[in-house]
Amino acid sequence: MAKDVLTVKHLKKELGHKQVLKDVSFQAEPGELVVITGPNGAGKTTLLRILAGLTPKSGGEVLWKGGRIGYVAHQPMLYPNLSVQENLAFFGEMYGAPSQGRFQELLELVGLWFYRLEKAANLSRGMQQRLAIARALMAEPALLLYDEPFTSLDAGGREVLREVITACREVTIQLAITHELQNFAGLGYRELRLEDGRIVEGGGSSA
Amino acid sequence: MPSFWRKAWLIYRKDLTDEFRTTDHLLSTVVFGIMLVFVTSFALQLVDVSTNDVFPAVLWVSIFFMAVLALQRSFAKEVDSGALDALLLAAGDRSILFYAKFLFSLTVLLLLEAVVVPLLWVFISVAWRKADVLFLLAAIFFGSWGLAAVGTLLNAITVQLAGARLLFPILAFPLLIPVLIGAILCTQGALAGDRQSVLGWLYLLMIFDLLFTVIPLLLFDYILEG
Amino acid sequence: MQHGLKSPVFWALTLIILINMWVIVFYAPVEKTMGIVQKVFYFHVASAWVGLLALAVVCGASIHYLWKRTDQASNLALASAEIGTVFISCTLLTGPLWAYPIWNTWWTWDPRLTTTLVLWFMYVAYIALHGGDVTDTRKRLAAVYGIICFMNVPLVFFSTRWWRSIHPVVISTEGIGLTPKMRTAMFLSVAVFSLLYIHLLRIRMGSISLKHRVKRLKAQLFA
Repeated sequence: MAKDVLTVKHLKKELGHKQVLKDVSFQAEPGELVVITGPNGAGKTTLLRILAGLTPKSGGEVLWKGGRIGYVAHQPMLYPNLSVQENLAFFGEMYGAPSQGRFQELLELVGLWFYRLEKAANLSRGMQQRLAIARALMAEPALLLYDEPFTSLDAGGREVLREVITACREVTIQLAITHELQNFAGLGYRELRLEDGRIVEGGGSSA
Repeated sequence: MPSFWRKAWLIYRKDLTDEFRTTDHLLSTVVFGIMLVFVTSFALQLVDVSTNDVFPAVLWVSIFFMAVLALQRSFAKEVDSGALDALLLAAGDRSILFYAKFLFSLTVLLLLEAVVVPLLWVFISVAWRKADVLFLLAAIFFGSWGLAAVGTLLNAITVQLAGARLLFPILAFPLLIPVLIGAILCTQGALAGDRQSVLGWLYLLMIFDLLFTVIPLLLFDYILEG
Repeated sequence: MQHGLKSPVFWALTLIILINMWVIVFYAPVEKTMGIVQKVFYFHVASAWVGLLALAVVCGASIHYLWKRTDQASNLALASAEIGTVFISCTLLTGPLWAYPIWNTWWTWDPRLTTTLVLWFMYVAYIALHGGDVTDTRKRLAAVYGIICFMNVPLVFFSTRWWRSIHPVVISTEGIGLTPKMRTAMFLSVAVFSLLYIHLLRIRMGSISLKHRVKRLKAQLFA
């Protein structure tokens, strides 16, 4: 049980001489959707990147002994010259060979099966974001991190993402950062508010 | 979880697929190389010098300049597409990336040389009767290895600095002096069929190659720390 | 620390340098065959020594920076590289002054000359990498480059030496043959130049951290 819990204790991050994160502590358990809100420059993205292991922390602890981490960033992070299928297959193989069934299931889930032979560069921004979501799921993550996931999606894409979040519910910890909380309405989240490098009390929940 | 080398292989394969799909860069680099060879051999023709004496120097200066263009692709590919973060997350260990990109750079460099070296050979009309082709190929291979290793390491540095890509050759050349010396003298020895001297310079190249293939294990985490 | 004319260190150093000049000019004997030109040797060797020492400091400070991430270590590396460039430039300029009358050529690709020139290129590249903006990324990347450069010096030196020992050596720099008085003058110069290096290093580190502070304050002002 304790193995799958994400615990962040007194996390600090300095960039140059600026203290981006001063003291961040929280816990998240499997089945939870934690939404972190806060003004621009509050350190939301930095926090997410530290959790993903992409940026080193300056102090404090991040305890995560669970499985792999999926990361849906602000940018789609795809190879423009490779097709939808090749993009997904490449990352899938990096995580261990995926079954053909899983592959098709994911592309159908995000509504890209029809476009699987298209180059990623030719997709619209919203489509690219859908592919990025499929890629994050390819890792079969135990912890899913979302950076403003709804922003570049169209109406259909938003519906897809809401379905994904609901579908992943049981087995994963999901952690999103956003400044548009209304998109998460009805998804049963717990809100944490990040201001001036600290988690401030008073975040609501919609469970 | 796939092994270290399996992941490196997957990245390498992905990079080659990607590179051959948009041949813009590869094509302009090879044309640049051909131009370079043409201009230098033509210039040397005008002043009438002994061809075998200048061949090693002209060959390696051409390869060096071609490498400056060719070696700047490995990490630029990731940074331009913004996929570096996704790749780091999937790879886990950062040095996997170094070895994958190094193999990619080496492959591209050898492919370019496969076009340019024979052309230079013909243009400069080398007297090849005494030449030891096996050692010549070894010189090109181990010289390119050193170029690719240093180039990959430095490309990972320069792509992180917006607008500082011109720094690449400036950072690379002082580090590459031993390769330049070793490769040129090795080529010269191979042309003259002088095995004794070739072997010595091959060892120097190998030591350099080994060093710059192992150093990244220690330093690459710091380079891609982001 | 007081700067400029008010600093006692400055006056002490001035005095030591004047003594060193006196030792070079009057105490050390005039070389029999080379004549007065040989005096440049003391400046040449001392600045070459500092040039190499400074790169070792760059490497050490860079390792320390990657380990501890203190601004001081990064500033020390940059300051050392800048001052090292000045001293290496002195070596490269004084060399030909001596070489032309003695060897009858301004330049030769002797291992030491080649290595010194490559050292100069490394310094310039390092400063170009580190010098621009003051960001953590640049500091980190410059630190990695500084370490690689220092490790590369022996390779450069031995490859050039090996190349020159296979080919006939046209000019040998061996056996300069110093008298005891000359040796005293040389070691004194090396020591004095090292002190000068340390003094310049402290001043430059101070001004670099001031520059960074101004930048920080400006950023705060506009934040």
